Amino acid sequence: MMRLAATTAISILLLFSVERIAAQAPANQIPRAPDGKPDLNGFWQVLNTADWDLESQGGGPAPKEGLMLGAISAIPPGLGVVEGGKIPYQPWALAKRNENRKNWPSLDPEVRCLLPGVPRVTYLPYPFQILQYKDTILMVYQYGYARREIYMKKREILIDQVMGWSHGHWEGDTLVVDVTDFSAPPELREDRPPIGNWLDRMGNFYSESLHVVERYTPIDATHLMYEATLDDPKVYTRPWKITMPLYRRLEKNMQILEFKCAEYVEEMKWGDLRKKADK
Amino acid sequence: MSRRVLIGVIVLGVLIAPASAAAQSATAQGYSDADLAKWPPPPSTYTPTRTPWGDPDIQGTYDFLSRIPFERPDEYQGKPVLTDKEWEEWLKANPPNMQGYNDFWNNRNFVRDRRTSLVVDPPNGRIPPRTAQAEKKLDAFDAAMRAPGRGKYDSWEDFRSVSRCIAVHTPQGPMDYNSAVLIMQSPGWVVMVRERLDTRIIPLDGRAHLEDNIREWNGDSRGHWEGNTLVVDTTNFTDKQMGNGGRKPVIEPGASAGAPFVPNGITFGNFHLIERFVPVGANRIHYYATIEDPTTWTKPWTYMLPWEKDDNYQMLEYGCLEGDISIEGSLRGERLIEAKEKAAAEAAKKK
Repeated sequence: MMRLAATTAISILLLFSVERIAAQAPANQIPRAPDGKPDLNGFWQVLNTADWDLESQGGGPAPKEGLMLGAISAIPPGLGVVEGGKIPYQPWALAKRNENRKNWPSLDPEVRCLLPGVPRVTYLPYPFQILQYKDTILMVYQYGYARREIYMKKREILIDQVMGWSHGHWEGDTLVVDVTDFSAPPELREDRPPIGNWLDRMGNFYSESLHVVERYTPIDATHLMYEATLDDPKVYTRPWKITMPLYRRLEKNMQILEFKCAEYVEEMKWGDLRKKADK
Repeated sequence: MSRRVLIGVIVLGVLIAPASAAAQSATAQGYSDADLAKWPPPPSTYTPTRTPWGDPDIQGTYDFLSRIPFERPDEYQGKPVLTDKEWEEWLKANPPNMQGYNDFWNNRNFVRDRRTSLVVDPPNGRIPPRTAQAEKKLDAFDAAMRAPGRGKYDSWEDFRSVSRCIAVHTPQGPMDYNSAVLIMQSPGWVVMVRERLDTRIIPLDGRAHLEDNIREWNGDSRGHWEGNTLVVDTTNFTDKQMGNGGRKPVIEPGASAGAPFVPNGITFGNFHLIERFVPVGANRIHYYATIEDPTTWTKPWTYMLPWEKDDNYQMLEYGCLEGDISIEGSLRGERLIEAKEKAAAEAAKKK
């Protein structure tokens, strides 16, 4: 009887051990999956202003579209996450970035709930969940319908995608993700500029020839260091890097809720096309 | 029978023929054709492999394209499952209906299924009658749609959620295309990545449902394992979900984008969904969706859709808003037509 109880206890322990590691491991210990690789399962989020501006910026009022929201929509100050401070734009590209900036918010894909691309999806101010099992690591973001499958075995690349194609491998305890084959923003109408490929709300941008190498390195049970190197010979003079921590969301009842922003932007996009009551 | 189904049958035959007895039992199907139309789900003799943390492993890419009518036609009453010959004849008489799409979209891999309806309960294969309250609501909706001055598209809210790039319906019925689902598992979680738009995230830790004020397009799901069956309980649906037209017949096989049984004007507000994912073979899940909504239907009812695994299926990005110009075009067109009609009416008045 006691043996049976002990066996049962052990099997229950085994059953729950994987789940418990993340919650119970000492803070300095990296949780590990059964295969010995770091266990990234769980919820992650940045705590910074990178989505406002990858470079440093001072605080300020919202643009005219958000003025009525006062301090709620004011622009927060931030130290920036770009190694060396500035993005190494080619001269034409710097001019275009500055032009983009003048056209925020109307040309920012985030304003229209469009897919944010990589790496921007990582530092949007929303949580995301990582599921890690077998040959795929899945990242599901709260924002819109954004998600990524990171293939740990080579897949044939079939088309360009807004979120690119992500192939991953482990270098020691670091998950390295190679992201390629981004699409260019589609020209849906002749009378409108294509919208997409922005890195933040301040108009920093990339082209469809972007190549991103992301590195997710666990530094303890509740933090990952996130680095992304952006190489785009059409836009930058050299590859450059952003670095920021990802924080584990520890709430016991944590779950990704629906943030289906497609619905929240309809009045903005089509409000003037709603049928008006006859007077 | 579509060409892809034929090829699938041939390949399956080649694979199974030389297999040893042991391999055969590993790949054997845990159901018979007669089981398909039964409710509650007959026990499956198939035992899936386990994840390292002990859950049944159902991970993979599945699809559930179907040509079975949602409800059983009169001529098949009393005959829930057809013979192969009868099924072939039915297919010949009912070619795939792609409505506005051309044949390019029609190269589809239908899951083998010889039933005469997806509905398995009630046993007549028909959705139970709606409540008086629901009929009244539907009448009011239909009347409002026919009211003078009511156009086809007064606003974007006249479009279904999938056209608005918000959500595919939960539960899912057969879809026209791009209906693959990737199931991923991690300790305490099952995630279902739909090729179109949605990712359903299902916790297995027994937590309570969200508070009543949080309403989601796909509802709030809680799962648990009963043996090898994944049982998912979903509540907290939004009442904004649109169905598939008013009173018009809504059971075209393979021609809907989600939950074809919910007519417009009847909302999901009190919708309670219980889904059972029964693994019946290495590559097949029988998916049962039980709908409990006493404000809409006089009793609970259940449909079953077989899901077939195809790990060679590559899901692609569904850039929905990214390519969307149709709603804007439709609204703009309607407003133009209205302005023209108004001008014509005024000109006629002056004469």
